[in-house]
This record gives sequence, C-alpha cells and structure tokens, in this order.
Amino acid sequence: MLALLLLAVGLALAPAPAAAAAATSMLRLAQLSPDQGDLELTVSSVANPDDTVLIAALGYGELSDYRTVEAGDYVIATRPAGSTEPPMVSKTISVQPGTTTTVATVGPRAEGAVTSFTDDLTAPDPTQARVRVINAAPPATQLDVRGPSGEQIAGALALGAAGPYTTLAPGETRLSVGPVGAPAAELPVTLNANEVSSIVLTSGDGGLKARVVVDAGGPSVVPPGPVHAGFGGAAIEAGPYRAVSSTVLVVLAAAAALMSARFARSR
Amino acid sequence: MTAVSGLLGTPPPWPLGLVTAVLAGVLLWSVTARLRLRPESRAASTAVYACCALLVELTTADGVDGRAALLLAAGGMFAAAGRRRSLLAALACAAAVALAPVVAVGILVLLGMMALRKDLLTRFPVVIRRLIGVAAIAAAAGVAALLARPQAGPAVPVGVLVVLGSCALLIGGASWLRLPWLRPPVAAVGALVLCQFLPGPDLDAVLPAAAGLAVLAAVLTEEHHALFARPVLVGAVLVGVVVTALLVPAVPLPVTPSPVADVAPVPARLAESQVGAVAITIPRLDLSGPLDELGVADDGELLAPDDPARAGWYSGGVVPGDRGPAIVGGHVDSRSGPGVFFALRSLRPDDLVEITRSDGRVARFSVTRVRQVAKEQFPTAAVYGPTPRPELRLITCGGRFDRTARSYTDNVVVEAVAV
Repeated sequence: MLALLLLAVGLALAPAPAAAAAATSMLRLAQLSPDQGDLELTVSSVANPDDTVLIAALGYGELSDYRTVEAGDYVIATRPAGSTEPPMVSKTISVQPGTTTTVATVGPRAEGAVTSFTDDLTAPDPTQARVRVINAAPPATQLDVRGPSGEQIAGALALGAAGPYTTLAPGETRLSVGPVGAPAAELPVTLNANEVSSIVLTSGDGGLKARVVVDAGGPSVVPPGPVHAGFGGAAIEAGPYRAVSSTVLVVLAAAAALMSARFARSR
Repeated sequence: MTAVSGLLGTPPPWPLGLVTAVLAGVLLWSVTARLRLRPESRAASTAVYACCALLVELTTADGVDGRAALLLAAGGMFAAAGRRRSLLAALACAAAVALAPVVAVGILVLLGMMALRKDLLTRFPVVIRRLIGVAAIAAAAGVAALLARPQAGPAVPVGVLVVLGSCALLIGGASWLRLPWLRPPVAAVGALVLCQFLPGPDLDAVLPAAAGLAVLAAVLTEEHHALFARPVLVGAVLVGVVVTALLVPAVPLPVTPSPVADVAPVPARLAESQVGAVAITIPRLDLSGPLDELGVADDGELLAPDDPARAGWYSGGVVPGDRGPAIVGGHVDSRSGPGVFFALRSLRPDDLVEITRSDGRVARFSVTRVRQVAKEQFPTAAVYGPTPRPELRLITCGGRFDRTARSYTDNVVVEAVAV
C-alpha cells in the first residue's frame, strides 16, 4: 500500500515541473545569391501545414531577423515575391529544439539551391567578438579568409557555406580574403565586443565585399559582478529571531502532534 | 476588496511576520480550547498550521506574512456558534482570500469534501448535500483554472510537496476508517498541496491557506451543526469567497512609484545614437514610472539609481527594443521602506513589461524567467550575454540583508523577450 501511495504521488507530481517551457528554436533566411533578390521564402511546418511563416524578399547578402519556430520538420520554398506559382526550390529541413538555423538561397537563379546551417550564438568572452564567415561571393567557389595577424579564419570555404566560429578583438580590423592560391583582397570590417556576427562575403562590380551581420548583440561594456540595489529598509533581518521563532514553531507542531496521538490512543 | 488590501498595506518585515505567525498558532490552540473542541481536533489543526508556517518560513525568501494567519486564527475564535460570530468568521476567511486568492481553492475543496463526507449540512437531504459538495469542488476547480499559470511551476520545491503529499495520503489512507476526525486535516493538507500547483502571485499563499484549512477543519468538524444549520449563511460564505477570489487581482501592492506625469516630455525625434529609455510600465505590479540613466562605478560595477523610488536603464548597454539584452535596475527598498522594484520577485512568466523609448516607440516584453541568485554567483553571461532578439533584464536585490556589509546577499533577475 505504501509503495502504491508513493507511486500515485510520484505520478501526480512528476509531470508538472517537466511541463516547463521547452527551449525555443529560431530560423532566419540568408539571401546569398546575386540574382535572386526578389525571392521570398515560405517556411511551412510539416506537422501543421497551416503554420506557415513568410519571410519577405531580401537583397543580395542580406539576412532576415530571426523568427521563433517550434522544433520539427519544415518545408522551405522560394518563390518570386508576390507570386502564387509552385515553388522554384523546395527543401525539407529538421529544426532541433533550442537551435538557431539560417536557411540560405545560394548559387545562380537558374540552378537555384537552398541550403541551411546551424548558428551557434554562444556568448564570447565579453571583451571579444565572435565571428564566422559566410561565402556568398560567386564565381569563386572556394575562399581562404585570414584575420588581421594572418591567422586562418576559414580555409577553402565553399560557396554557400559558413565557416567555423572564431574569436577576434573588437574594433576596426581587416580580413584578407581571396580564392585559394590567388592574391587576397583586404576587406575592412568593424566588430563590437560581446557580439556574435556573421561576416557575409559578397561579390559585385567593385570586387569582394565583407558585410557584418550581427547575429546576437549585447552591451559592449559588461559590468562585472552583481548589482547592489537595496538599503535594507524593508529587509528580512538575519539574527536570532529566525532561529527562536522557528524553534517555537517546531515545538508547537511536535507538541500538538504528540497530544493528537495521545488523545487518539486514549479514545 | 482592494480597499482591504490597501488597509493591510505592506507585509510586516521579518521577524515580525514569523512572530505574528507563531502568535497566531498559539491563539489558534487556545481558541480551539475555549471552543471546547475535542483535543485531538485542536491538536491536529494546530500541527497542520505550525508545520505549514514553518514550511513557508524555510522555503520562501521573504519569510512569513503572518497577517492572514492572524486574521484566520481570529476568525476561528468567532466561528464557534451564533449568527454574529459566524459572520465574523466568514469575513476573516474573505480577508485571507483577499490577501491570497489561491486560498479560496483550498477552502472550497475542504467544504466540498466535508459536504460529500456528511461532515457538513447534515440536516439537508442527501441529494442536496452532495450537489452542494460537488458544486463547491467544481467552484474550486474553476478558481484554480483562473489562477493557474502552468509555466510558472509550483511555488514550493517539488520535493517538499512530495513529502507533504505522501504524508497526507499515508495518514489519510491508514486512518480514514478508524479515525474519522483526521479526515478534515488530511483533506486540508491535500488541498494545500493542490494549491501549490497554482502558482499565485506570492509564495506566502501557503500560510493563509494552511491556517484557513486548519481552522476550518477543526471548527467545522466540531461545530458544523451550529455553523451550517443556516443554509442562507452557507450560501453567503460560498458566494462571498468565490466572488472575492474572482475580484481581487493579485498580491497587495506596496509600491507607489512616482506618477508617470513626472516624465519629461518626449522629444519628437532623436538621432539613433541618442535614443534612450524614458519610462517603464509593469501592469502586473501596477508599476509605472520614469527611468533614469545608470552608469558604472570606478571598478566597473553597474550602479543602482540614486533614488530608491525610481528605476534606471544601463545607458552604456543596449537600448530596450534593440537587439540584445537591455538592462534595467531598481532598488528593492530604501533605508525606510520599499523601493521601486520591491515587488519584482512576484513577477511570473508571461507577465508584460513595457519600456517607453525617447523616440516615442514602446518596446513590449514578455517575462520568461524570474530567479533569485546569490551575488557571488551572479550569472553575468545570462544577464549581459548577446541575444539574437531584443530582450530585457530587470535587476534588483533579494535574499537576506547583511547588516554589517549593508548589502543584500542575492540579486533578483527577471528575464524577458520582446513580443
């Protein structure tokens, strides 16, 4: 009977805390194709097709804001803005709970493709900037990216791919970017401390360009430690009262319980 | 009932609250003796009450709010017999419900169970008695549904609830047939555990709930003939409790910050870099007031506002509504009384916070998490770390006040995301 009771209590009580809010997942679109600027993107949940998010057309090299989505499978489809035609490109991706995902249109319009990569928004050291590079600069299919002191940030980065995250000092800095084995261009970028950014490399009339897109931002000066915001006027005092009163309550409870038991026996 | 809340004012500072609670327990004991209740009923109800008072004291940051307990104990004194005394008892119960609406759930469950168990309304026909019992429990469920905010989780740690619930079930199961007098206290503890799954606005709801249930359990088992021989009174009590529970919004609000009219007129349009935050509104706390600008001390620590009645915005950080965590700090108290963020810890997930910016935009945030953290383990990364969306952090002090260091031991941190 004891076991049954405990089991019943366990069953009744266990689900409540577990029902706490699940980690949210986020999704955004990157438009990494020079001639697909007028494309809009629909993201439809496979489980619930009515749950569709439309991300409006973006310019080349632009990234949308993040949208919150439920974890699950999604169909990504691109169409010319305002069109109701069947999608030009359609792809199914799986969004894991608590992850952030970037869905990108890449390549020329004729062979338009959709790819996706996971974003890691882990905070950097508050005095540092955390960055990665996204190659959206055709025709170069592979790019080498080096930091201001020559350290490699991404090697042979394929078109439409995102490089690994790395930590750089904040401020104005320069990246050396060039096709593998070819002369590199110096591209200026400005990074802020305590931010996670994607540096999108685009190509155009003036050659390669680097565009910094902030994925996650925070105060660039992080005050260390806690905040002292109280003077004690409405404070709970630490002192003997607490122990004394608690003891009185314990004695009261124990005495009452003992008396209760004694009276019950004597009946 | 807002008037009642206003009259009762700020919860008494510790240790006054706990002393009041202890006095209430002693009063409860002596009153039930005066009423010539059977000793075991008196003892059981006092034990339930004392255990619950201790539970609240040990598991809440602010200790005990003894006012409701005292009211209920006094209510028990009047509840013995007679029309006038019964009315006073009903008023005491209503006042406790006004302090913590969640109490209504427990009281209704208890009354319903007792009606079903034939401990109440014994002169009524069986059908009507059962109907009333079911109606009371249904009303409790209704109030529970109105108050429930599932995301917030139980007010008391789950482990404590498991122990309490197991004890109630064990004692109840073992003694249900042989010791009928134990049924009401067992029902009281059960209802109390139930109450904990309705995260109300304040943790102290446990105590008035416990006191109310204990007193009612003791008094009703003994005096139900006198008290419930009058159907009109029963109806009035039930209706009164339900209506009070529905009308009273939340915890009484001790803070009256400066009115919004103090805010300087908002400039028509400022350059992007000059945008700041000028005012804060938290409907749940009935809080609305201007925002100062906060800077950092020589050692880099974030400074709290100079005026304990005003909150401030960390102007070296993110502007509320822009990407990233914007920081708003405010004092929990001054040297003499509550400060602007005194009631901050009673916020719950999904509560709304609005920040008015100097460009006229109003940034709206929804609370996702409220926590109290030791200052030595301040979660700098979670508070200041970069975020992909506009977010907000409200910070004040909490925990115990260290008189020698003239500082609180903990910080209360509210996290919210833009909606």
